[in-house]
Amino acid sequence: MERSFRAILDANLGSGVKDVTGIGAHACARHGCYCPSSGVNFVKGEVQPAIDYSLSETCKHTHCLHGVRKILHIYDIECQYCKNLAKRFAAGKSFVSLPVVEFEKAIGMFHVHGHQDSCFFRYATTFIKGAGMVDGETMETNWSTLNTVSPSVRTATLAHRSEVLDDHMNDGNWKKLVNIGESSPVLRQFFYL
Amino acid sequence: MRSFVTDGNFTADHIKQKRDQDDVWLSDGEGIMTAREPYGTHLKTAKPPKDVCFFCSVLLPT
Repeated sequence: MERSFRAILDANLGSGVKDVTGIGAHACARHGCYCPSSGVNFVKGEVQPAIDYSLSETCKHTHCLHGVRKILHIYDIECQYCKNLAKRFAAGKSFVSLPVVEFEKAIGMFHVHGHQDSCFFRYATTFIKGAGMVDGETMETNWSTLNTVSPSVRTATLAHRSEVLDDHMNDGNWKKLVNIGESSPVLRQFFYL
Repeated sequence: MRSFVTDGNFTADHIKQKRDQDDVWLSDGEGIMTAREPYGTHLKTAKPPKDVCFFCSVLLPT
């Protein structure tokens, strides 16, 4: 298990000028669409409870509570995050209870190489049965487009900021939906796109 | 199997406002960003993760 990450240390520093130090969200690992209601604001030093809440909202709003037997959860620091995850969900009142029997944990294929060697064999998505060919880094591509707009709402009101972020994240989801044909090699062959 | 990926982004930060009580929330929790009141109460009640002392982590590896 890794004990110190730059991301954790930076997030825990907090700031006197900022009331929100960042955002976190869940997305579908295959298509990269943001999960509804999963975007959470990081207040200083509150990264893990925030991601917990985001995961709970994701399970609730993507209808994972019934009929889904297995969830694959991919996170850059999963080897730390998954410790006591079940315990935290059992104790938290604002959580939905984790609905599934099997909860697979994984680290994205880029970040896993920054971990210890043991993490690679435990958490790489290539070794997980049923995971398919996912890289688990879809969120980074989402952030790179969102990073072009998020600095402009840094000094906006919280309500306006939330709406602008909502709009752009929804737009990302919409573009992925309408352009999914072009990106599919099978359909591209069929329609000569 | 449902696959989800999650990550944090520290570019989307926000500077403190002078009067945040004057905010008008036209939509709250209806898009991607979560509803703020239940989330706020969650953050108050949730226990922060235990910090591991650096020397303990070196001397007593688990």
